[in-house]
Order: sequence, then C-alpha cells, then structure tokens
Amino acid sequence: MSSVIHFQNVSHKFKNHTILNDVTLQIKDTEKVSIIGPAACGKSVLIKIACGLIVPDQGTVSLFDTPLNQCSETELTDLRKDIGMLFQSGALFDFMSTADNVAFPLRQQAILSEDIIAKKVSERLDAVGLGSSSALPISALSGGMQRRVGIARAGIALPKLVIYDEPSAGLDPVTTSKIYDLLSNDQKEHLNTVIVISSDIESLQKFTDRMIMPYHGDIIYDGSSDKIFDCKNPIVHQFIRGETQGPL
Amino acid sequence: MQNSKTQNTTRTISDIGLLWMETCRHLTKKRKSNITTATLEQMFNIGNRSVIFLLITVGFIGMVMIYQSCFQLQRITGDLSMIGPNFIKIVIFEIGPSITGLMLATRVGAGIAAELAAMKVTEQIDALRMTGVSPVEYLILPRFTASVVMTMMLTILTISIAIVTGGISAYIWFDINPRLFFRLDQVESWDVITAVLKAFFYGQIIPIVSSFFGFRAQNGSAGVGDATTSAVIGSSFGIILCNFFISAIILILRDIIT
Amino acid sequence: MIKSSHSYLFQITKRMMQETGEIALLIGQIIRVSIPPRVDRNELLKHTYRMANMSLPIIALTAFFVSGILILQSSTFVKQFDAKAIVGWATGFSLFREIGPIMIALMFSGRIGANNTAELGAMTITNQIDGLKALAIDPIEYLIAPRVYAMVFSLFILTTIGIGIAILGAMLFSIVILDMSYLTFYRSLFDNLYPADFIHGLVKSIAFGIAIALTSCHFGMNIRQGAIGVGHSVNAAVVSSAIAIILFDFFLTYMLA
Repeated sequence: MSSVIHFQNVSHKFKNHTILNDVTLQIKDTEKVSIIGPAACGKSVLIKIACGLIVPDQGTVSLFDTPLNQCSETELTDLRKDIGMLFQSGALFDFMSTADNVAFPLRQQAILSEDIIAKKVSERLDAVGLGSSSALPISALSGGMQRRVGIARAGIALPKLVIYDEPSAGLDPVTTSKIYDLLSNDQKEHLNTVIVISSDIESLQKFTDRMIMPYHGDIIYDGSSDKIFDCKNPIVHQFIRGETQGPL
Repeated sequence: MQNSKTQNTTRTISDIGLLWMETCRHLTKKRKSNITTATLEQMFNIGNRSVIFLLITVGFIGMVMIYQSCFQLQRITGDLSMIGPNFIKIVIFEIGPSITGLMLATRVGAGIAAELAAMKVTEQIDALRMTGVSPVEYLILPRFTASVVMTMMLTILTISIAIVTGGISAYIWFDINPRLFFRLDQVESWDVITAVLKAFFYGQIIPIVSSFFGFRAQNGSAGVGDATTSAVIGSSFGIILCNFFISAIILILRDIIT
Repeated sequence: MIKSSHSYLFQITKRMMQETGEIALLIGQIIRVSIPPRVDRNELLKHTYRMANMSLPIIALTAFFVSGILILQSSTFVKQFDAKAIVGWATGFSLFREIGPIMIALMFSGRIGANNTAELGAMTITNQIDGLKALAIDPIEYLIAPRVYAMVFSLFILTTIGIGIAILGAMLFSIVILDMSYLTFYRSLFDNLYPADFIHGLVKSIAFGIAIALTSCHFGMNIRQGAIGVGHSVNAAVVSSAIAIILFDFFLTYMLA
C-alpha cells in the first residue's frame, strides 16, 4: 500500500501559535481516518498543509508520494485534481447555482459530456437530500443545506482522497447519520482514502478505523478508533468523554 | 518599526510584480478552462456599467477645465483663440486617459477587490485550487483582459465627451466660436501614442493591484473592507506613478527622435 | 435591449435619489447633535490625528508626483512657445484651484473615506451600533459626528500641506527638467496669482471633505449583508464620493468666480 499523505518532521507556526511541532505522520491508501480535537487546535491547518494550500515552516510533506516542496504550482494543481474537499465554511461558489457548484469538478476534468454530468449531479444531490434545490443560487440555501452541497461537490469526481472538514456541523442527528451512511457507501464502492475532521466521536467510531488527535503542535493520539477509550493520555481521556474536569 | 514598514512595502510591490508576470504568462499559455464567457461578463461589468459614471465625472471635468483656463487666460493675456486646440491636445494626452484611469480605479478596482476578497475569506479561492483550477487563470485573467480592452474603449469615449462638453461650455460662457474651438491642428501623433500607452497600462494596473489585495484578504468582513480600501488607494497611486513615468519616457523619446 | 437599458437607467436614477435623500437625513441628524455643540473634543482630536497621520504619506507622494506630471507635460508647450515665464503661473493656478484639491480629495476618499466605511460597516454587521443604542448612546453623536468633523478638518489641513508640497515639487522639477531658474518660477507664480486663488482651493477642500465624510458614513451605516456587503458598501462609497467631489468642484468653480 502506497502512502497518500506523508509528513516528515513538519513544524509550523502561525504568529506565536505553534500549530505543528516536528510531526511525522503517514496516511496510507484506502484508510479511513478521522482527525479530532478541541476547537482551534490546528485540525484544519493540518489538512491545508497536507494539500499544499499552506506551506509549512519546516519539514517535508508528500502527497501521493510526491514531495510538495519540489512541486511547481502547475504540478500542485494536477495533484489536487485527485483530492475532493469539503471546506469548513462550505466554500461554495456564490456566482453559480447549486447544480453548477456540484458539477464544477467534473466540468474541470472535461472528460464527460454535459448529459452525463447532469445525470451524475442530480443523483448526487438526491443522495444528500437536495434534489429539489438544484436550480437555486447558493445564497438561497440555509447553512446546513450549503454543507450538504459541499459534501456532494467534494465526492462527485470520485477522487483518490476525500477530505471532509466538519461534515456534520449544523445538521440534525437524522441527516448526520444519512450523511455518514453516504460517505461510507462511497468509500466501500471506490476504495478511496477518506479523512474526516469532526468532534462527533460516536459517528466517527462507527465510520473510521483510525483516529488522530493533534493538540498544541503534538499528535497526542494516533491509533485505532476502537481503542481510543483505553487511552491513558489525560487530554484524550477528557476530550472523548466530554468531561468538564481535567487539563483542557 | 520603520524598517519593517519599508520592508513590507517593498515586499508588496514585488509581489504585485510577480502576480503581473504570472497573469501575463497565463495569457500565452494553453488554457484549460474556457473563460470566454467570463471575459465577456467582466467586459460588461467593467465597461458598460462604468459608462454613466464616466459620463458624469469626465463631462463635468471638461467643463471645469475650460472655465478655469479661459478665466485665467482672460486675466493674463486676453487671447482665447488658441484655447480650443490646446485643450483638445491636453484632453487627448492627459485628462482623458488619466481621469478615466483614476475613476475606473475607484469603481472597477474596488469592485474587483470586494468580490475577490469575499471569495477569499469564505475559502472559495482555496476550493478553486483544490479542484485543480488556477485562480489566476480562472479569476484574474478574464478581469485582466476585459479591463485592458474596456479601459482603452472608455478612454476614447471620455476623450470625446470631455472635448464636447468643453466646447459647449466655451461657447456658452466665453462665446468662443465652435469652429475656432474644434480644431485638431495642435494634436500630434505623439499625443495619440501617449493616450494609447496610458490607457493600455492603466487597464493592466487596475485589475492586477486590486486582485492582489483581494487575494490577500484575511479575517472575515473586516478583511474585505481593508482589501477594498487598499485596492482603491493602491491602484490610484499606481496610475499616478505610471502617468509620471510614461510622461517622462515619452518626453525623452521625443527628444531623441525629433 | 433598449428596454433593458431604459430600466437600468431608471434604476440607477432611483437609487441615486434614494441615497441622496438618506444622506440629506444624515445631514439633518448631524446638525441636530451639533447645536449646541456636543461633540466630544478628545474624540475629535483623536480622529483628526489618526486620519491625518494615516493619509499624510500617500497624499505627500501624490502631490509630489502630480507636480512632476504637470511640469513634464508643460514642457512640450514651453518648448513650442518658449514660454518659461508662464510655467509658474500655469502650474500654480491649476494646482491651487483644480488639480491640487481634487487629487488630494480623491486620494483622501480612497484612504480615509473607504476605511471609514469599512470600519462602520463591520460595526454595523456585528450589531455594535444597535448595542450602542441599547446603552442609550446616540450613535450619531458618539460615532458619526466626530468622524465627520474630523474628516473635514483633516482634509482641510492635508490640502494645505499637499498643495505646499506640490508647489515645491513643481519648482524642483522645473529646475531639473525645464532648466529654469528658481527665480523665474517664483516670479511667475507670485506676480500672477492672488491669495484668492489659494482660498478658492481651500473652500473646495472643505466642500470635498463634507462630501467624503457624509457618503462614507452613510454607506457604512447602511450595509446590506455579510462579507460581500462590506465590499459593496466600500465600493459604493468611493464611487459616490468621486461623483460628489467632481459635481461640487463644478458648482463651486461656477459660484466662486
């Protein structure tokens, strides 16, 4: 199995905030990984560094076995075509309709004809429960609906690596389970690598095999999802149980 | 403190230069995405939607210029016969292109910066990059091409407006015969070359500087406001600097050639 | 096509009238809090200092380069008519009466007016203005009036400084580029111009200051939505400031003659 993301001694600071401190980390092909942790502990930055959207201060990051610091912007662009991403804020293009947003990654690949794209888009929107809103502009959608459009867009081009930053934020429990079912079916079908950032421990335990918890620059937990409750680290212990007493 | 400020300014200027080069590189490169529709849309936004604004501002500037200069000339020399040809000359090589540039810097520059900065702070630019689309090609290039073309078109329009309003006000207030006013005998080919050069470069400065500040926006809505402000002031000042250098270069060239 | 451009014109006119009306209301509110003068003097001085300080570098640079442009462009006329004796007068009157006040006001509107709109806009969308009202503080008195006075006052000061720099710059450039003596420039400047020309420009600068202050405050407080709204408001503020500056310039030129 080849590695999808490989961090070697990566350090990054934002102003005086240490976000990563000499982190070495490998995510392999077809893995289902979740990244958990309290707010503002560097989860999103970790992901953006992995995609080359942020260049780290030190260390080497490799994406699909290609070291990013040797890539030109054009090569990076080509690498990123194999990644689908749901951004924390949705990042939907507000100058397009809902359907156009979802179709965007497919149109950029320019392999499929318009008819097939339209069919795929409507299937995808139905899957996230937004089949009837396809013609609406993005500004007419609520926050939860925008998130689901973002989920539909992230996975539509069947990328080798899909990253979901907070897929369940602002969704009700029923929709949340539906979304996780969809993600897991997608993964079973295409055997791609999935990274989910969330703090919804229960759903993540069902869905992912491996959990990573960064905290103030260090990776304090990296192991199987089932065993996280046995972890002795007091921060992990407190975080996954949601206790008010403890180091956090 | 002072040192870091100077460093920041130098850094900003060199980054703007790099963005400019990258945009020009994308112009010649084979493009992946089809941006013709986007370019036409931007042409409408930059060009057609600025027409009324430019009609008002440049029209009144033409009138004021004539009013002030006739008023002064009457006081000093009393000879108003040469006012028309000289006014037309100045409008062509200076007032037309430069006022158009400055006005477009406020309208178009602020518009581009506001739009791109809002996209930046809502992570849309990152999302574009993740889909394998270069934001320079997809967002800046249509604005760049549209702005260069439309600035040149609008400059032609504003030059004619200023000349017409100037001529009318000269006739109404100072009783200068239109036949005496509308003469092109002072206009040389140098003036036309200057006008074309100015419009060409102003049209590039506005989208590049404003896109740069738009792409650099951070921290939510406050960041969008900051980016828009910097874009207006940056592109206006860029135009003034560019005007200075073009005027100097033309002057030197003229000396060498004639 | 004709119909669509017709409705576009109609909409623009409607919008302009609406905004003008709202600005007129704002003027009324500012006058209301200014009689008797209740404007906090410390706040006023603080804002004036901040605004003048923030925009001084850009205005000094603009003034310097504009004077250079003027001299560069007069050089063709000077060579043609051998008219060194009128260079000082020509640059002087255009700087005092027109180009000086207008250019400085346009740069000021970009630097301070836009910044002010962005600041007030961010406060409006984060409900800080409603917060002030809830604390029984009049936002016009506390936020708007000091800013308006500070802007008018600082633009007035900056115009004086800017025109001074521009005249010195013009003198320098005329010595370097046109090979003139300092005395020729000085003579032709002061023999043909009167204090009235300078005052003409300063009166304009006050009017421009009022225009910039009112439009920027108005668009800052009437912001529509979110991050995009801030950008649109700043854009609308600078565009209407530019229109207002040029219209005021025209009418003042006409009235002051």
